[in-house]
Amino acid sequence: MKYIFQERSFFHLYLITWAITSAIQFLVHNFYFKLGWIASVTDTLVSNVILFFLLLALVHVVRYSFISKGKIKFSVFNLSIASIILLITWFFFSIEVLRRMLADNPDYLYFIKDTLIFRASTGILIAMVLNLGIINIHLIRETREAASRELKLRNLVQQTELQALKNQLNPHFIYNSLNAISSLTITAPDKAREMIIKLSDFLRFALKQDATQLIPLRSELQAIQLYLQIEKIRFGDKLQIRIDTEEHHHDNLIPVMILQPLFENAIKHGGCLAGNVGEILFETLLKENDLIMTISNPYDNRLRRFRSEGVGLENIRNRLRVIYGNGQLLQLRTTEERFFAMLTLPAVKKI
Amino acid sequence: MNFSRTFKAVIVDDEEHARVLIREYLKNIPELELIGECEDGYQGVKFITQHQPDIIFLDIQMPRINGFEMLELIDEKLMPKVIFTTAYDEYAIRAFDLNAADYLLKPISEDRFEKAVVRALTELDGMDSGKGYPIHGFMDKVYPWNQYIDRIVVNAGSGIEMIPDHEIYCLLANDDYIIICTEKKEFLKKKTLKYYEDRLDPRTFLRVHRSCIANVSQLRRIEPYSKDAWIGILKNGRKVSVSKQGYAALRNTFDF
Repeated sequence: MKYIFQERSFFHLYLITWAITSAIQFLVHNFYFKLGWIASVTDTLVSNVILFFLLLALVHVVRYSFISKGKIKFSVFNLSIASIILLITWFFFSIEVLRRMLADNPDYLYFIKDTLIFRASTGILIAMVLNLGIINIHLIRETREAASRELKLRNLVQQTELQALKNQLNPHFIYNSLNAISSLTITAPDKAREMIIKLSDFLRFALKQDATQLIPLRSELQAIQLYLQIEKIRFGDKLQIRIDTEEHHHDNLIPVMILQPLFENAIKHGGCLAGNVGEILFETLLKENDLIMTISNPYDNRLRRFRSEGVGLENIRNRLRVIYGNGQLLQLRTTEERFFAMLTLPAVKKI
Repeated sequence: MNFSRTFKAVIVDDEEHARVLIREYLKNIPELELIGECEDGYQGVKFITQHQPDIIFLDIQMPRINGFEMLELIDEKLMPKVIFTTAYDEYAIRAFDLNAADYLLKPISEDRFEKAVVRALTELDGMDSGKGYPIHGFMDKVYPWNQYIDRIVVNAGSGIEMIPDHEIYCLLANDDYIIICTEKKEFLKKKTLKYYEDRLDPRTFLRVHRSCIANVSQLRRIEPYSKDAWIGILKNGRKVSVSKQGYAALRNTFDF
């Protein structure tokens, strides 16, 4: 917690309050009670300057006791005790000083005796105002700091999301595609050109998106088609893919680029098993209020590889957690011959 | 380029276009003759064992078994020079630990490719033909990558057997072989214990003795045997020796 006078506006306010109080006091003494200007100035300066410095101590009291919403009762108690002690000190000390300084002015001595209560209440009032000010500023500052913390946290989350988006697009896919293109420029320049265009279109789609954006399944499938065409050029006839969905499912919204890593995973683990009969299959199903999307691929049980889920699938879970608050919307299942990735999302058609 | 003989090369890569590119680049290097292409590690092991090439161009990420696993299955006496060709730069350290001749990142440039080949051929030319190249290098350092292997691939009879790490009970040193023990079976592999100590997840696999790495999740009990020696009993009843250091490592893991 910073020292409260580092809050410049607060220090200014404190000074101005004192200036005004002093001015009023002087004017009242001089023109209303007609004490004469020497007595008026002395009284004003002595009582105010002493109180000014004593009350500064209050600021130091809170400097070492953290005021927060949770501990407000405790802080108010501390401040009150300190205020009472300071006010009593001030009251007797200033009156004693004034009596001695203006001992040759009998009018003033009568005046001071008559206005003791008034003087005490003014002191109490000022102390109360100051206390309220201190507490307020601390609470405001606490709120402000909490807000800035929250902002920082939100930035962090956003950065994580961006990172997640960056991670979604597997860079090895790009490098491998470029290597294939490089090869095609020698053997089949036409095909190389075609692949460059497809890769560009796909990258444009993949890179311009916001990680939490929802798009119609239709648009996602268009991008998937581009992706699959590129992979087909890479892997040739070994890759068999069937997309089996109903047209009216295509209006449902899904997170952008959520299917591509699933297809990539399917291709990596089951698409190119030479001599393995079977294809990669994508199906959609509307069940009650859910859109269920399933991608399955042939799976060789003898490969005994089931521990690592891979970065791609982990990323999908993270995004589902951010968007829907539930990473379990992605379910994985293995049978003897096939591997299934099932994505269950709420069926929503418009934002 | 002047070499005393021509050399034989094989490409192992699951992508046709990647193989075509290397094939095209090799056309400009008559000293290196392409004798075969393989689509996966299975074919690779078979072809390399049969034809004993001098150089292989090896992709790492392939279906079924990856490039590293394929190399483990090749007899060290027949080990060719390995030039890795991959889009993954994160495996470079692992590759050079295996004394790889070079590590080419896809997309591969022709310049870089030729340099790698010339260097490998120059080294080969200084050696006797038919001699194996040790594929295990300096294994005594900590690996910077944090992906531990999740299975061990072994030659078993006429085929290849995959042993997932959670089915391994222990690994035992036996001359220049190790014995990989599962619940009921045992497999031989020509590797060192150190090799697997570095590659298996150290949270599960502990070096309990100079001659034994045990899967601690398969450990049932530990009994004192003599001063500074203990016996570990695995869930299948097999007993393994536990040394003083091994006992300390176990205590550390299980916090007892």
